[in-house]
Amino acid sequence: MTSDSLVHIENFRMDFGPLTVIRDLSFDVHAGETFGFLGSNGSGKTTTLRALLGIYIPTAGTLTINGKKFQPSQSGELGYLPEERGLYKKEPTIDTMVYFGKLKGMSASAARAWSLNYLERVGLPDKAKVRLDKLSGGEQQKVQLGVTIMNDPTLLILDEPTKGFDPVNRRMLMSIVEERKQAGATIVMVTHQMDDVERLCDRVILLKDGVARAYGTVTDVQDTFGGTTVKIESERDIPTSDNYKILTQTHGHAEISLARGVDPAAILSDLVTQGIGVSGFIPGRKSMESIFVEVYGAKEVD
Amino acid sequence: MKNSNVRTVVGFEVARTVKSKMFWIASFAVPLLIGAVYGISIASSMSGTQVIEDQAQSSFAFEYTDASGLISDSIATAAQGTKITDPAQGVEDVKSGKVDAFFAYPADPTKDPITISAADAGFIGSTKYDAVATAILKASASAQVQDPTILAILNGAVTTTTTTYENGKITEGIGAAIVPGVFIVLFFMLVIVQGNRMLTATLEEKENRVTEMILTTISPTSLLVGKVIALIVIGLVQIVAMVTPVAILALILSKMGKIGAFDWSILVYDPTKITFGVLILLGGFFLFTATLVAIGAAMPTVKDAQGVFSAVIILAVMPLYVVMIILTNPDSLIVQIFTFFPWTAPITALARNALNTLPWWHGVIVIVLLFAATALMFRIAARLFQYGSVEYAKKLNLKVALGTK
Repeated sequence: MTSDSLVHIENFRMDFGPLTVIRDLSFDVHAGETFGFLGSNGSGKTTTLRALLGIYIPTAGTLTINGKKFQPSQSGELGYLPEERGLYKKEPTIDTMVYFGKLKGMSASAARAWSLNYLERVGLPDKAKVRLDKLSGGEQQKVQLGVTIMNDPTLLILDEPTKGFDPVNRRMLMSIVEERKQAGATIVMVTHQMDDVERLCDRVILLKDGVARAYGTVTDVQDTFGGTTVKIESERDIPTSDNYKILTQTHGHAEISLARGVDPAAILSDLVTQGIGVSGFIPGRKSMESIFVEVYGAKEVD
Repeated sequence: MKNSNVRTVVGFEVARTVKSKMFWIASFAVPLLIGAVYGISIASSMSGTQVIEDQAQSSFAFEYTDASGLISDSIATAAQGTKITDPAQGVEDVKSGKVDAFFAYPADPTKDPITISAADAGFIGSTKYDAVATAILKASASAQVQDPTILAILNGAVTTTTTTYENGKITEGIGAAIVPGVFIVLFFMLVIVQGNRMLTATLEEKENRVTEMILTTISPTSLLVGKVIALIVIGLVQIVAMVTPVAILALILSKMGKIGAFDWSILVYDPTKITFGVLILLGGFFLFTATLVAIGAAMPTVKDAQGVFSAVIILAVMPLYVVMIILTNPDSLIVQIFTFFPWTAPITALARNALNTLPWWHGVIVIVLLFAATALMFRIAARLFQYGSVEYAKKLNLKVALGTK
C-alpha cells in the first residue's frame, strides 16, 4: 500500500460455495485519481466493490478505504452508485432524497435544501413532491445520481454509471463526474465505455478470471498490449509482416499494431522500399477498446 | 449501532406508512366491519325478539280442551279462548273458519306435546299459536303457586357467587384472567395485522433495488432494528385506530342502555402476570418479526414469500386449535411442547399465564427461549438480508449465505 492509497485491496479472494469469483486480486486507488475498473460481464467487478463496501464478507484478503475496513458510519465520505439500482418508488422524490441524506449524516434541513437545489439544476424543480414511480426512467436516473453525490463525497464509486442512460443524461452524468474530479474527489468507475476510460481515467485495472490482467496508467496498459498503432493511407494494401499485426485494412486504409520495440519510422521506410505509395502515416497508441476486445475476446464481450 | 440512523429509519418507515391512505382505510375497515356486523346482528335480534313478543301478545279467537286440569279458565278467557270438550269439534271449527286455532292440552304437558290446529298464518305468523298456547299454560301454572319466592325461583331469578381456594388462599375468578388475557389479543393483532408488513419490510428494498445503497449507509442489523421498532409503533397506532371506534361505540351503547356497563372492579392487576405478559408478548413479536424478515430476505418476491409466510402464521396460531386442552389439561404433553417450542410458545404461554396454569419458572424459561431464538433469528435475518437482498432476482442459496465466513 502506498502512502497516497485511498482504496487498498490486497490478496482478495471471494468464493461463493464451490464457485471462486475472485482468485487473488491486489490493487490500490490513489487519492484524487480517477480509476477505471474494467472487465467483462461476470468477471467479478461488482463482487469486488460489494466486498470493499462490506456488503459481502471476503473469503480472504484485505480491503480498506482510508486504511480502514469500510463501515456504514463512513458513508458521509462515500457516494456509491451500484449497478443494480433503484429507489423507494412509492415515495415522493424529496422524501427519498432527504432520507438518504440523513442516513449519510446530513441534517434534514440541509438534505432538503441540497435536494431542492439539485432538482433545480437537473431540470426537475417541479418533481420534488411527485412519487418516484410517476417519474420517467431518465428522471429517476437523475434522482439516483443526486442521491449518490448529495453529500459531496470524497470517494465516488460508480458501477456502470451510464448503464441505461440516454445520451443526454449520460453527458450530464459524465459532466458531474468530471466536476467531482475537479473538486478533488477520488473516483472508481466500472464501465464498458472505453472512450470514457481514455478520456477520464488516470489508471485502470483489467480483471479476467478472478485475477488482474493489466494494471497501471492507461498508457502503461496500452504499452503492455502492443503499445503503438499506426493508421496508414496507401495506394494499395500493405503486406503482412512480423514487425506488425494488421488490425484493419480496407481499400488502402489500414491500422496496424507494431510489435514491441519496433520503430514506426522503420515500417514507413520498409513500405516505401517495397514501392508502396504512402499518403498518410499517423502513429498512435492502441485504443482501450481494441485492448478490451483482445483481452476478453469478441464473443465474451458480445 | 448508530442510533441516529436507527431513528432515521424509524421516522421514515413510520411516516410513510401513516401518510398512506390505505393504512387508515385498512385500520378503520376492521372496526367498521365488526360494528356493521354487530349492528345488523343487534337489529336482527331486536326485531326477532319484538316479533316473538308481538306474537305472544297477539289476539285471536281459539278453542281449547284441557286434559291436564292446569289451564285457568279466566286466563284463557281473557286471551279470547273458549273451553270445549270435544277435540274433533275444535279441529272442525278451525277448518270451517269459526275460530283461528284449537289447542288440545294433554294430561301431562311435561311428557306429551300440546296439539295445535290452526289457520295458516305463514311461516313466521303461525308461530303465534305456539307462543300463545305455551304462554297460557305457563301463566296458568304460575297462578297456582302462591309463594312469590318459589315463583321467582321457578322463573329463573337465581344467582350464585363462587369462592375458590388454592393452597388455602382465595383464588381470583375470571377477572384475574382478563388483564393478562389482553396480551394474547395484542399478540394476535400485532402478528396478524403486522405480519405481512414484516414479510415485506425488506422485500421492498430488494424489489426496488435499494439494498446496496442502503447497506453502505447503515448496517443490516441497525436497519432491521429500525424497521422492527417502526413495526411496533405502526402496530400500536393501528391497534389504537382499531380499538378506539369500538370503545366509543361501546360507550355510546352503554349510555343508551343497549349493553350492560362493564364492571371494572372485577379486574385484577397482578404485577407478575403483567410482567410475564409483556415479556412474552415482546419476545414473541420480535421472534416472528425476525423470522418473517429472514424469509423476506431469502425470497426474491412477495409472491414467493407468501407460501412460507402462511406456514409461519399457522405455526403462531396453532395453539388455538388445542385451546380446550390448554384450558382443561395444561400439564399434557402437547401443551408442554407448545409452551416450550418458541414459535408456538407466545399464545400457549400467554393463555396459560392468563389461566394461572403457568408456573413462574416455566414463564422464565419461555421468555429466555423467546429472546434467545430472537437473537439467533436476527443474526440469520441480518446475514440473509445482507446476502439475499443483493441476489435480486433469485432465491438465496442458504448454504452460501450462512456458510460464508
